[in-house]
Amino acid sequence: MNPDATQRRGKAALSVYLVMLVSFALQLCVAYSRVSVRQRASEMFTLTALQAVLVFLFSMRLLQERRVFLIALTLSCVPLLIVMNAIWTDSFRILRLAPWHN
Amino acid sequence: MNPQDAVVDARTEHEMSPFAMPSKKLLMWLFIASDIVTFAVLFYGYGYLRNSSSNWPTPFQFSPTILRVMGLTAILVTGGFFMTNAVHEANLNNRRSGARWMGLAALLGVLFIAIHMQEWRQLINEGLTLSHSPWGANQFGSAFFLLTGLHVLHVLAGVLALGIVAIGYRRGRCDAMDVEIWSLYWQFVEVVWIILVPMVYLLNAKV
Repeated sequence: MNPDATQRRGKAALSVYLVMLVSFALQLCVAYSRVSVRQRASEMFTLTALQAVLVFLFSMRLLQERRVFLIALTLSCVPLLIVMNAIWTDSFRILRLAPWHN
Repeated sequence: MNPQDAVVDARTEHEMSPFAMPSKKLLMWLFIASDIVTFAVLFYGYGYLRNSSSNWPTPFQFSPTILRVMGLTAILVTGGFFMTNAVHEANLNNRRSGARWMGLAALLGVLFIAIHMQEWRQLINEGLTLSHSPWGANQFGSAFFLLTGLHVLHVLAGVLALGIVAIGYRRGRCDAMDVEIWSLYWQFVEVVWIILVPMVYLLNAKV
């Protein structure tokens, strides 16, 4: 590996680390903001998704693997995680006897 | 052996590694994919219980619990950064430096477990058990201990693995690929914590 690439990679790792710390501080601010629980949850989980993607792509170096591996991993996990969201309507139904009832 | 079998054997021997990565690295990725599903099931189960409970508690005070959790987060993220440095040094064949970064990451893991156990002890002293919650919704205890407990077990396994691989790498028994593989594991443990913090702690903070 040439010295330039080494230095670049080191800088990228440090940048990811700093972005992670800043986004955690932001998350803490969102947790104590005076908004509805739904809005707070959606803002916090948006930040969480951003953090997770950063770790997978840069710290776990998924970007440097073959594109077909990234696609295979995504196809094997993400659809399953999306399908699992089907449980939410039922969880609200148990409490309020109606799905998505406000 | 007939000629046809010989051709099949030769093909098997010289088969390209899938996705152009070593088989042990692919195995770690497969483990991570299966662990993603394991934790996803637990997270969705936790969310289901929380949504379907009318008296779900929000017991976590800013001080000490949330501050402590932020400290734990900083420890784990810093450990992840140290592992990135360890991989970087291992790729440059700096065995001493690579092993040192790994050792530091393992030490941070030990610190994480110690502080987390202190957190557990405090909650148990307040009356939280697997079957009882002093703040309402008894299923809170089992859901909390199951999720955080499985994560702590992962951290413990990571600490042991990092320690063993760091010593092995320093002595020349492990190679740079081993460092990279266990870095993948450690970063995954970090991702699980990243999701656990808002779900289990921040959304249950006393605002």
